[in-house]
Amino acid sequence: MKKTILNGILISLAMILSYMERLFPVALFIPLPGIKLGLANIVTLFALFYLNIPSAVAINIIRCILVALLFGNITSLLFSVFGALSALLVMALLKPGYGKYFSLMGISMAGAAAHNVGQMIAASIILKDTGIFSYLTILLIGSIFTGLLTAIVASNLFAHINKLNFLEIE
Amino acid sequence: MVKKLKVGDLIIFVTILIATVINFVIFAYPTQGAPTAEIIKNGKVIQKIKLNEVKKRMEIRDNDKYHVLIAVENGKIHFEESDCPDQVCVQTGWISRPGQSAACVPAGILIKIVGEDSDTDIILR
Repeated sequence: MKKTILNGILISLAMILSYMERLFPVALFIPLPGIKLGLANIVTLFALFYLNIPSAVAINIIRCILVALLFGNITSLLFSVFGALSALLVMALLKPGYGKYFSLMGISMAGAAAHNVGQMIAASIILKDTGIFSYLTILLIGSIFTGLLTAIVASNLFAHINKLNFLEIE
Repeated sequence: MVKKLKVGDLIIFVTILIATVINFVIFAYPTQGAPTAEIIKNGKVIQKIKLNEVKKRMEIRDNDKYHVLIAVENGKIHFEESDCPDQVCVQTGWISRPGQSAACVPAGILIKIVGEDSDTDIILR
């Protein structure tokens, strides 16, 4: 498969996952306003492990811009870009230790936590006050669960992709 | 699934827990004193309300970027209405203890509850 095509498919997949998350009321099960499952992180993990870091960065930035244009606004764009790039940075730094020191569980949990920290930084920049960080405490605990959930989905996905062996990237 | 877990995963898990505790101590630890709500807009405190001194329902409106209604009742404060797109501020619900906060990021408004000495009007010389 051509890499450009694969990147395009991944961007649209990440977009759909970002959109679907808005429809799925996680707050009903975990009563935390603003909590999200972070399903688009599955795509980021895939890009990081099967493509490369520049692809993962491009997919994330383009996804954030498109989602903001379609469903959001400038505030939500700043939020999602800060969150996505923080998560990506941390996961890219941990990736060399994959298999030896970390499994997808740890990498994904660290990414989810970094995502929340990045968003709090974005919120503090907009609000010009760090008071909102008091809310991060509970979000960090939530990130352990959402990080594990996306890792479980991603590791099952990776196992199937490796078995099918259809992914011959040119 | 569990068998594949590595030692680094545990380190990450513990690191997140430690970060959570540090974050709680720095930003969310309940301070002493009368709960006082600071309404902060674009980094400036625009109003300070001693929550326990509000006997009747009190409303604060901001119609700058979005129409936001903040209400104070029975020693608690919340974003009652907002026409911002994400509604996280309204979903946050009532807050009343020092260390708690609620924010409407699209409107640039933060409510922060701090503990303030209620006896500052009595000065001993």
